[in-house]
Amino acid sequence: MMTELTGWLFDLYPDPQGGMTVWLIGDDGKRYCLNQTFLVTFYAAGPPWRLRLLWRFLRTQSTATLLSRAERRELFSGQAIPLLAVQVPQAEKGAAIFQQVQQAFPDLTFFDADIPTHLRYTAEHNLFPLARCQARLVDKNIQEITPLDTPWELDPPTPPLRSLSLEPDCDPAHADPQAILVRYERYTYRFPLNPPLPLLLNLRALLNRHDPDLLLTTWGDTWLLPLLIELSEKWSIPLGLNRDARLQPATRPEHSYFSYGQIVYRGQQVHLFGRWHIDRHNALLFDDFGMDGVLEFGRVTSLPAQEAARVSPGTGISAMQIVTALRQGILVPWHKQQAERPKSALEAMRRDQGGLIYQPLVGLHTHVAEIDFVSMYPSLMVRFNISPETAGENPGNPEALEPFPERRSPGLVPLTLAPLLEKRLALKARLVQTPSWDPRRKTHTARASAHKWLLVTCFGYLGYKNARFGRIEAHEAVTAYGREALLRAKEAAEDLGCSVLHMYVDGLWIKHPEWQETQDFQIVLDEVAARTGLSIGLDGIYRWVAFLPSRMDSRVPVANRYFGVFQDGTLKVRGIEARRRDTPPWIADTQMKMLECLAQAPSAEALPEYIPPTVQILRRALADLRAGRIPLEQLLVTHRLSKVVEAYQVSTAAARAVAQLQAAGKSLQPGQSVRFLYTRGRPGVYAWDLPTRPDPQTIDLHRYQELLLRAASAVLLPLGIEEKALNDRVLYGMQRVELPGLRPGMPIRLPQPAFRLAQVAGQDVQR
Amino acid sequence: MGRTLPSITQAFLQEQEFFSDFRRALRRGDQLILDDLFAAARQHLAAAAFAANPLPFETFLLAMLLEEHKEVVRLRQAVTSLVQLDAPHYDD
Amino acid sequence: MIATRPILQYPGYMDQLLPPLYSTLSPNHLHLLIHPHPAASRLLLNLAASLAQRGPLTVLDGGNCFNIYTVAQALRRGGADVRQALGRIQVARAFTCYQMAALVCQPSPTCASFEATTPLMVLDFLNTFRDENVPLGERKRLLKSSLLALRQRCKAAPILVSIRKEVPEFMEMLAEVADGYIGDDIWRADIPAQPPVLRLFDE
Repeated sequence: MMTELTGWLFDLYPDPQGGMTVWLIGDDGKRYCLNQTFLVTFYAAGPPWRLRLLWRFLRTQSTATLLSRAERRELFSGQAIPLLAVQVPQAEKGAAIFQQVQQAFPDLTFFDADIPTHLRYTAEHNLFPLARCQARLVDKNIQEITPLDTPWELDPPTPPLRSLSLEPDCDPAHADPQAILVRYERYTYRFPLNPPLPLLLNLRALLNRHDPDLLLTTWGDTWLLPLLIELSEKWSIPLGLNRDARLQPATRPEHSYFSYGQIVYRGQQVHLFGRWHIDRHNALLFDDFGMDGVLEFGRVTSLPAQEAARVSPGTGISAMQIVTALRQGILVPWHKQQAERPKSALEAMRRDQGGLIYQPLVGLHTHVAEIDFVSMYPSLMVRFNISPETAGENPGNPEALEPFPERRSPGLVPLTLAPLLEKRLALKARLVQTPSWDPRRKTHTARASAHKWLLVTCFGYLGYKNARFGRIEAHEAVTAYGREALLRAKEAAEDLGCSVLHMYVDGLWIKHPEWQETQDFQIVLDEVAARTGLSIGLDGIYRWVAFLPSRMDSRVPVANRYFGVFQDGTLKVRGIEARRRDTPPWIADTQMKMLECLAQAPSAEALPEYIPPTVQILRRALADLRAGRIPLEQLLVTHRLSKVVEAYQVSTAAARAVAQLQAAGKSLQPGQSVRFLYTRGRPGVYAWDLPTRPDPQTIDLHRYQELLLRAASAVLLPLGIEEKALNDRVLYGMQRVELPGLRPGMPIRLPQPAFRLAQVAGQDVQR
Repeated sequence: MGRTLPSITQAFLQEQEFFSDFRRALRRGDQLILDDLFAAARQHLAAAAFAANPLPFETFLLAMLLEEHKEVVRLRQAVTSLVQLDAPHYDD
Repeated sequence: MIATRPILQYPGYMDQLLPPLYSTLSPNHLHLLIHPHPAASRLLLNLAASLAQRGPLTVLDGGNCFNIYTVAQALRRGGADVRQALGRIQVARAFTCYQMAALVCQPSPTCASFEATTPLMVLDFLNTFRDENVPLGERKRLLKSSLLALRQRCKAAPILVSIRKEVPEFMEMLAEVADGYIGDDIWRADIPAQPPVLRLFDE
């Protein structure tokens, strides 16, 4: 008997009995576990006699497959190629069968091969996680399922999700937890870990009674769930973590991998079936964007929530490209990537440049406008049709900002990115109009962050060596177009009388002798848009902004190292201690407090009055340090390991801390962070995660003092206070106060090579 | 992938290193002046990168000259205004 | 074990290496240079400059070794027209073993410089094959087809393959391909031993 069900797509995975298991949350509030037939398809290409052998090989395998001849379009050549199509009704076995085929016939070329089943399904049915859909059912079997909305809705209706949270009562890395805290709606429960039987029984009862959709844990992947699963097996009490009792929770091991020049560490993972498990500590997105961000990420990438919470944005982009390719009937390559086309050495040098990064004019500047291209690289890709198959063959015409010619339709990458870019811009516009008291603001902000993160990654992914659709020529084309766009923006600004203080890939800092208001700069924005075809926006106008030089040599400008105050009073800080991940909180906080104090100055001319209170903040912080009033956690240095400990040749502080942990039996993988304090004498460090706390008397106060003074001088240097003078003043109380540079009426000082001060820096040479 | 060729900063340091013997043999005061020249060239690394010259030192030299001349023009202006200030005021 | 022609290890030996290496580069020779010492990279780039002065050259870079500035400087010292010579060098980079195999086995049909008679330098050939994320069996298969392709190509033009870090599992395969033919040279440039430090006083 045919019935109709309307609701949201909740979970999706291969059914042990064949096809796919599909969970829907119905409009009636019930959770439905349904089944749908589904064929996993992959293709093999190669010499006909080899394909015949493959055909015969598959006929002898135990897993049933449907074999046929097919012809599909290959992306890079644009040609249709003859293929052997292999369809697997037992979707669960799809990956295994491919493995066997690949090992037996390594010489063949494969397509649509190791694609996660959930992506295949969502691609075929035009669905996505939490899509509104309508299903026609016979009993529990889906005959047909149709989407009722798209991933690109700005405010889609979402189902109410039941969430149960679990966490141990302390950090398992630090000490042994004694109890588990469970929260559901208004209720909180505390279950001691010992004895385990009541814990298991109570948990099972709770899971049964409340039937949550989501288990939100802390340390659930790496400690809590593995422990519960172990206890459950040991005491033979099934917990019912999965809603789908036919399956066991899936555990994936920990691993470290190399990504964009950094080692990333991913802890072990526990995935559930019919229910979501998200671990706050192991979820890249969750920390920053919360559940809204995770769900939006899943929505636009088609990744199910448990994946969406844990993967890097590169995986998200890859998923989007694969889904687009599948829907377009484009073959998805397996592993084999295009090699670079040989080019002359000169041409290679010219193209391999990256974004344009200008050395800033070091010093303090006033009434500076920061203008940024909106999502520059993705916009370039979409606007100029830069895609692996379009930009691969010819270098295009960056100087003329001409789009790459379309073969038949927009390239794969522009096709994938265009709706995401559109949604990002629409949501940003919506956010500007949403008042701060509107509860939807938080949701919108989280969703916007998910979009931004994805878009920021898609460029790097274009050039990623293991990306299926990666192509270095396309990556280089994007930077070439970007450089041209930035230069045109510079020219537009200069033609209108502005001077350009700094440029960084997609942003410019400009200043005009007469302009101070937002509307004054509109003419520049319009001119840039006209000359480039890209949209550019005004980030803000600084009351004052200081571009800092290199710490080693104050004559050397450094890009992306500055701080400034916008006209609305907000601070923008880049590249200094407060923004660096390894800085101890005490130093970062003190530096920020000093900046906030300076930010109160209503104008740059008033800054000298704010220097004494700023220095006072520094003095107080140093006094607190000397008096022992700073909690040890505030002094922790956090260092992310870039390689295995043995590989450290020089005994850096971090390496010594890791060695201490190893001696205590705790090992760290590359990509994980080590926290430590500086102590006096040898070895000079004390790792924080050791079983015992260090003696506060052993802290190397002198070292911390030095670090704080260095951070403080970064703040005060643009105001004319050299580090030595600051040290003298603060440490030894020398009262000689000379603040050059900002008081009007001072005699002309010819610029010293050491540091260019405000009035001199940025001045255009007049003829 | 990408950005595998040495960056302009690396090329710059390579060139600076190439002249380290020359620098060493100079008098201390002259060494500091030479350092100023190299620091001046560092103001224009982005443009040097964009120029994509396989012999980058030519571009660095031009950048040094650029800064040098900028200084000359600035000094010229400063001297001119100083001289005007001190000039006796002729009323008739 | 691979039979290698040892290079005398004395200061300045790198510069001594260039002329003999160049003179032995002739067709039907698959030259292999194993050089753990980073200074040998400069040697190879100087060699590339030398070759580019005389005609077209193809460079396949498997380890991010091709420093155009070094080559340009060498060309300038040799008194050549730098830009013209650089224009004669065709460069392609490989970031994965799949790409390296593709570059070696299937040269781009529309690229004129990939003609049979153009000398070929493959820099740090084994680097991409060291990626343990690719199963060893797969890497061996790709290496084998690459070596066969190189063997084929060296019939018409000299080929120099450089390796910075030896990979034990692959050295046998290299030896097989190299040793099977007469006249192949495998050069090994090891890190020179440190001369003993003279001390005036015992600690």
